[in-house]
Amino acid sequence: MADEAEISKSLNQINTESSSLISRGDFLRALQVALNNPAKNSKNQELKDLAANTIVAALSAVKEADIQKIIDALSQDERTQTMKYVYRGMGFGQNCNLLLKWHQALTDKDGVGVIMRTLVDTKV
Amino acid sequence: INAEYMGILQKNMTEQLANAISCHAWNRDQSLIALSPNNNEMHIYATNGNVSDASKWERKWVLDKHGGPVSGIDWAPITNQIVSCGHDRNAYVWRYDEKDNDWKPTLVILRINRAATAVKWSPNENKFAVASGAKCVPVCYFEASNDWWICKVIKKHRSTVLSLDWCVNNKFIVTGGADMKCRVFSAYLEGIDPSEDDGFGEVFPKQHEFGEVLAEFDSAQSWVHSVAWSPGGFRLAFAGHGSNVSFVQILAGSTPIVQTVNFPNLPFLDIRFLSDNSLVAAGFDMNPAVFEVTGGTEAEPFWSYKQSVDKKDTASSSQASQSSFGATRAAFSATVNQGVQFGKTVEESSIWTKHKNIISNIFVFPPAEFPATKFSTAGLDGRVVVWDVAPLALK
Repeated sequence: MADEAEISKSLNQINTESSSLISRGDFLRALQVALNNPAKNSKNQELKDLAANTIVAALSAVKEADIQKIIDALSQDERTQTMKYVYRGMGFGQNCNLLLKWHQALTDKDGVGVIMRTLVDTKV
Repeated sequence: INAEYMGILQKNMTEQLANAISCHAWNRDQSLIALSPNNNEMHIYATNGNVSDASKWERKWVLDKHGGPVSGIDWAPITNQIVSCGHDRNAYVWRYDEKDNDWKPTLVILRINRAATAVKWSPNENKFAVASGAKCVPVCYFEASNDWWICKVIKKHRSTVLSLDWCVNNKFIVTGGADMKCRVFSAYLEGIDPSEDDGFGEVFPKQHEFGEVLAEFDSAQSWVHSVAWSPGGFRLAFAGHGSNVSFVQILAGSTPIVQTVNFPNLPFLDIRFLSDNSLVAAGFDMNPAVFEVTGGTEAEPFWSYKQSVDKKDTASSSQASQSSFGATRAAFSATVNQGVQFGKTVEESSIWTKHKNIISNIFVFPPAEFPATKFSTAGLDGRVVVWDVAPLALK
């Protein structure tokens, strides 16, 4: 099992990088950086929440009109990961309107299969 | 009652043989099919030459030896023996008695304390393996001196084993289960299997150690509903509940290559190879899907989803009432009888696929002969639908 301290450090770095990319307006990179996190290897729920918060922040920063462009630029694996965190974000309860737009766009692209992959993931 | 509406509904409706069918298997020349109507019985129908039209089949035998629902049936094409397994934790080997025109069962004690989930004959038909909820796979062989079947058990699973398949060399099995892993085991039995190396020794050094894990894959990341071994012996596939199918290429001298294909619709419950380069999968979508090798090389193939077998019949949608009065009447009756939103046409709301419920088992025939010419699907809607492979234009 990977070291929890290392994961924590890595997540903090990712958080910082993603936030700065958001403030610079590079929403695609911000999302990609945030998605590429080791939280699934951790057993610590706080670390998983930290990773989720980073990603949801990146998702919430995107304007509705730009969602489709960003989805087209993501790889299939990245899209699957994004959908998992859309559900996490809806669990937090903020920005649900926008997250539902993400949900619709992702389902249009990858079908209900991407929802299945979200449902079977126990580590997010 | 709108007669045209009923006509559309019943057009091309396959005969329903039972409320649901849990498993089915065909004999070698497709003159007989054995199926279980999701209870402790096994029904054997004679097709009388009409393989594709279930309404012409004739039920010949009802075998009700099992003490609980029958979960798996397999028919050995050469020896003509049927093996069945069920929730009563038993397996029976059925042999046809010409004199009595009946099927005589032989009980096989599996020594499991949970239900059996699936059963398959080995390619040489001298062994069969049973997947079970007891987290183990009994491999049974016939001991002539005592005139009965005994089993040797493969353990190492962490949860219910849901599916298994044999390698063409009669020595290995691949299993998949609720512990989300797909594993390859040696089911080599001394005295039954030839001890000479048939080429797999380079790939799996421990090939002759019964019960040894030869390979393990976790790319399904979800329950593995079904596993399959290609007819050539160097490819595997397994389907997970995450709407994905993983394809494994076995290589001599290096680790296997795994490619996971994500499917855009609902997960699959059963998969079978149609040839070394194509595979059919069916499940919650009620529509069999075909995956093929669309690129790459022989040693590193690239698989992708090509098509779904059941195609929507667009011609019938224009058959709806020509007159506006008839159309309005159909719309009203659909709203009243089906709860359809007023204005939406009947075709959009009814299930257009041949299967009206999930498909849970596939059988490819002719059994153990490739490339396949047909395959049949059965499931919770109680129908057995037979599909032709030729129109799929596989390579």
